[in-house]
Amino acid sequence: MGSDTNNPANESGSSSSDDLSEYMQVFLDESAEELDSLVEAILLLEDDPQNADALNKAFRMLHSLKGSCGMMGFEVVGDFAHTLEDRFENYRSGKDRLDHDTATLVLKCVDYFRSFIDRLRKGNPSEGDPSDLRRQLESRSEKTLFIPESLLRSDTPPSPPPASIPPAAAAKPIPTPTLSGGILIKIKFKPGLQLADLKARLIVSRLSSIGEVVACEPKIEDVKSFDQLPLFSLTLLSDRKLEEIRKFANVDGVESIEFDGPMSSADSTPSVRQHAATEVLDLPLVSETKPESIPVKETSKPQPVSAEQSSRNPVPAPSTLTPGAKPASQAVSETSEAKNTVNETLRIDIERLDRLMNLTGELVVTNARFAQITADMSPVFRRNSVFNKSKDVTDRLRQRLELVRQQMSLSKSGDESWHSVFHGLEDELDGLDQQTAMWNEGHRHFIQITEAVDQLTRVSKNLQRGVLNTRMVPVGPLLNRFKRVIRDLSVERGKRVQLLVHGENTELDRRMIDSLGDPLLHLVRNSIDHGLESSEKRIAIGKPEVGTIAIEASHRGNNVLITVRDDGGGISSEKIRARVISRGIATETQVREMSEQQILDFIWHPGFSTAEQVTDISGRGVGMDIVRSTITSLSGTIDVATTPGQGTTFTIRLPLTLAIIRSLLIRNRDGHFSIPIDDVREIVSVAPDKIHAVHRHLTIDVRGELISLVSMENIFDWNTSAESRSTEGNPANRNINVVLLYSRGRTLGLCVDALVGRADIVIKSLSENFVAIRGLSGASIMGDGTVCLMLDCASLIELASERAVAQGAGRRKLATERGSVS
Amino acid sequence: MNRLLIVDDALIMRMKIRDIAKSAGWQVVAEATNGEEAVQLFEEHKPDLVTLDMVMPGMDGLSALKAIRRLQPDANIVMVSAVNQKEKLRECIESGAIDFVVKPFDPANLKAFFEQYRQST
Repeated sequence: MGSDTNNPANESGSSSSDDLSEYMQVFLDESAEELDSLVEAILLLEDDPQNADALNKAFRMLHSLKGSCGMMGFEVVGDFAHTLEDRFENYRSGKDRLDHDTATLVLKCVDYFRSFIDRLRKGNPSEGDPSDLRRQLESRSEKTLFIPESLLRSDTPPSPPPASIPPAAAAKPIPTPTLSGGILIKIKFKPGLQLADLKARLIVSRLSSIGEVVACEPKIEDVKSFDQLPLFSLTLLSDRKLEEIRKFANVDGVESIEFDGPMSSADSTPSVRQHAATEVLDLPLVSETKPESIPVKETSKPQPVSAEQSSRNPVPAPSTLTPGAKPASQAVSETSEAKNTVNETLRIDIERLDRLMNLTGELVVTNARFAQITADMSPVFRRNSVFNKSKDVTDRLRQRLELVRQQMSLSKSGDESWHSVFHGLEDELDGLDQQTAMWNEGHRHFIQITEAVDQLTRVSKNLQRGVLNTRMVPVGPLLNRFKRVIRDLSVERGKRVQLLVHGENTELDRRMIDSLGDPLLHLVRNSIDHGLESSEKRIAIGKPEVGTIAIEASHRGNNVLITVRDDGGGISSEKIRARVISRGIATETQVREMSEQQILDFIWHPGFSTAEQVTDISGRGVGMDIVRSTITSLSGTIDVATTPGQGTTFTIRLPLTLAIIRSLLIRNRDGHFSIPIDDVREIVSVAPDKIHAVHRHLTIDVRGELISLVSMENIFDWNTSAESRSTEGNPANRNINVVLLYSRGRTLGLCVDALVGRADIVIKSLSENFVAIRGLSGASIMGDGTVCLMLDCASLIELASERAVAQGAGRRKLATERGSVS
Repeated sequence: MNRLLIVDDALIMRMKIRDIAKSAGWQVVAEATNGEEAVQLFEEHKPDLVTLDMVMPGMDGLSALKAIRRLQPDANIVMVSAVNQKEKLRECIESGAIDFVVKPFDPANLKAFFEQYRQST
């Protein structure tokens, strides 16, 4: 703030193109939000046409849209918004009622605005042609009610005459200005001034605070026109100096002010005002001073007036602000730059935030590395132990040396050569002392490093949280967008549907919000098309006629859960079975062996659709697999649960952020791998003899639950031969570390060579440079520079079961989709 | 006097008014997006001038005007209004608004407006 306070004056002219691009982004974003809110309000109004809040909101949104369009120079769009705004003004003031068809039409108008905004976003400023919509609107208004233009303009004042205008002035205008000792003030407005009539009122109102306005010409009540009021004159009884009166009359839009009338410019006659209060017109105003003509034709340039002058004003004016005057209450220091507490916002390209987030992630990892190094060093440096020990050793050596020297001198067998040996030894001991002192110094430095690393940890954690927060936005607007979809679809399908939205304030990474729209849309459409039964059927089976779709968002630890639930008929596993077989996705025998959950999971299979009739929006059979792959690309998971006859629930689980993943680090052979901690159910240590083979599958028993066991060698194809290793490494009697992975309702035990620890991982996609490998979701660089691959647990579990099936089928079918690590 | 409080629910309007006011030598001490905020920030900053939007969510311009003038009867409040808000605007004038500006405004005119209301020292 303030840096551009001293801009050259010429910058205030019309907006330059720079201005426009600066405002454009805001205009686009704000307009889009306004349209969302407008739709929300209209949907509410369809159910409850009298809802005052919704009417006001719709009106306000159109009003805002009109205003910003006007400011950006989009006249066609702004005019059209104005038309709608007027319409809603009538709805909210009760002059007219919004009916269902008109609401539908207004939604079409929103589509027009939206397409304009979309075009604009793509750089096409074409405003389109709303005249067809306008005609439709007009034909609707003819059908309902005729509203006179004057009403639309809200020009006829239903309110009583303004109190601030003296009744005398209103009732009995003075035909000529020569009548009294009042001051005749002639005000000329700037040509084409909008709402000049209100400006006239404003002047009357302002002057009433310093005197009595006894007449106006034209009469203030007659002044109705919007722009056509070039000249306005009034007679004022006041004891103020002309200069002061001028200030009060000089509002924005006034071109010139002329004074005329019998009036002393210097002294005033207070009596005049008192009389005037009672008998304005009939009072023969006796003025001692002779009538004086005041210099005519002054410009409206504000006259700088000192604070002292205006503070002499004894009347508590409703408007002490005259151009250039300073209110006495002005106490706050001008220089103290008060902090703006509200809405100091800055719009930032999300790419920049991404870079910032990535860098922060790197910092966190580097910091973890520092912490690791200091932890490794601490046994050596932690206490003075090393210093003390080496000091002890040198002290003892000195004592022994002294003993030897005494023995030598006693035996008198002293030899010169021994002396030099002693000297040499003493020198060495001194050197050792110096080393010990340096060691001690090192210890002190180490303590400092430890403290510095602790500090760094705190700062980087805070930084991470802070950067994370900049990206978090509430999911509300995203979820509420579906109200419109549901409305349109339910009308189209002839089903009655209500949408419940919970947890609108749950915050999620902006990047994910952007990507979630399509998958959620698909789920919602699916629910309406395939989930919810027709009204007749619902009534027949005793369900409420109106079907319910509930979208709910909530926090769960480091995750955000979004559920889409409907109370429809559920997904029929029989239908899935039939479809799976008829599509040749699996054989009848395979299907018979599968669990209900496994059957249900076929809905994610590419090309699967149980819709009995293909509708134009959903039911193309390309949806669910794409829904899942989108969610997976966001490092999330999606699960489905269904109860026949009662409904279906889709649960999407997403990490709070994409940038940093809490992971368990494991080592397998020479490689490090990370597993998202959210996928780790628990870690168990199993004695080799507790591993059982059940139907040729290795299985362990965890508190009574049988869990199948795989090793990395089973899952991935390795370039180096796995056989050579299995004999070398693991002593038969040693316990095996098993990480229990949990994803999409299934658990798998993964044998690992070693558990390394927990770490926050900044994940890098492999897909940009490498062929995608099933079972791996990305890579990260560890603090020491080694590459660590991240396991994708969901596909890992899938891979494992595919291999088991392939094995079970006598290796008939080669697992063509095998992962391969090189 | 050059301390300004801008009240408008639309960011783009606040930006525009802010830029123009600054170019006319005003110091924007705070910005509010609705009536409640406006009253609160007025009390906090005691600005020399307030530009007050008429149509806002929650407390609207007219109510905010009245509330502010209850706090400080000689508060200087300029209404910013569209043409079709005439009735409300008239009420505002009767309730002591010192002036009004019609939206959409011409930047040059608005700058002249701000200059007019600023002490030339």
